[in-house]
Amino acid sequence: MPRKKILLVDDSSTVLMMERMILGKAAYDFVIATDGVEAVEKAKTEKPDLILMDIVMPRLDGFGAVKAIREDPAMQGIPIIIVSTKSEAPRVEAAMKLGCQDYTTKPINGPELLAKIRALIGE
Amino acid sequence: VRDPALSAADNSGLDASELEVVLRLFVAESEEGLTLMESGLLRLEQHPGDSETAARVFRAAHTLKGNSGAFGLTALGALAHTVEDVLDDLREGRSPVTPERITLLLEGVDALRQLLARGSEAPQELRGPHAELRRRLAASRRVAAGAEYRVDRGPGLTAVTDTGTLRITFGLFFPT
Repeated sequence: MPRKKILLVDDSSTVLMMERMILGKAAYDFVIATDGVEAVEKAKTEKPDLILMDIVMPRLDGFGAVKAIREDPAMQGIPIIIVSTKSEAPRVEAAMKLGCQDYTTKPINGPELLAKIRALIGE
Repeated sequence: VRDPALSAADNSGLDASELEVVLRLFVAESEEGLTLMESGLLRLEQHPGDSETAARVFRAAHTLKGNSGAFGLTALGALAHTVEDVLDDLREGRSPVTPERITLLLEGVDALRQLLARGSEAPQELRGPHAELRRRLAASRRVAAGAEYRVDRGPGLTAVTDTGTLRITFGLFFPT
């Protein structure tokens, strides 16, 4: 059975490295995007099973990327988990309304994030 | 003895060698971000309307704030948060780019660089000149959020607020 693929979206190389290491604890493959525009492109071409989406990014922020992904019928069903900082908590509700399935805050709690991913797509 | 900064990141679920790799990357990315903030602020001083630079500098502060939390560097995170707030006001046009604000923000970048260099040896809370700098940064926001005051040519004071302009004229009474 092919491994599930996760699209990691963040403009910070530190966060991307942490996410890669956390996902390395489970049997997931991953692809990376470093801004919202690239996220939408990769979501279309890579067809990931799930997306971890940062909010503040260059070119297109996380909200814009989620909106674009949800507007495309081919990508509407991909679960999205927002990864935000604590101070962005008030904006998370807006992200959920755009069609995200869950959220987590930085600093990332690895076991908690893996549990959220498993709940959405299994392993 | 483990580095306290690494211990603080224990809920990441990563082991010590993985955290060390991430910590090195964090330091390199943060140094790069601070350099970008410095050059961006100097550019903004010359080109106050450069919204792309304002957004880039804001994002660098935002990233530093978010990542410092992962290593328990709370003083660094707290100062980065206040700098980020001031930059957010500039980015969103809530307060103007002035030489005074740029100078204050550059002081902030210097202080962030010092705290980053001290790493986990820095105190958990901002102290002394760093605490004072944070207060000045926060105070510069409060003035901007409330109103921009300017002394007009005639007697009186004009307060420009979000909802409009209020002009208060002080009556000058000269006894005859």
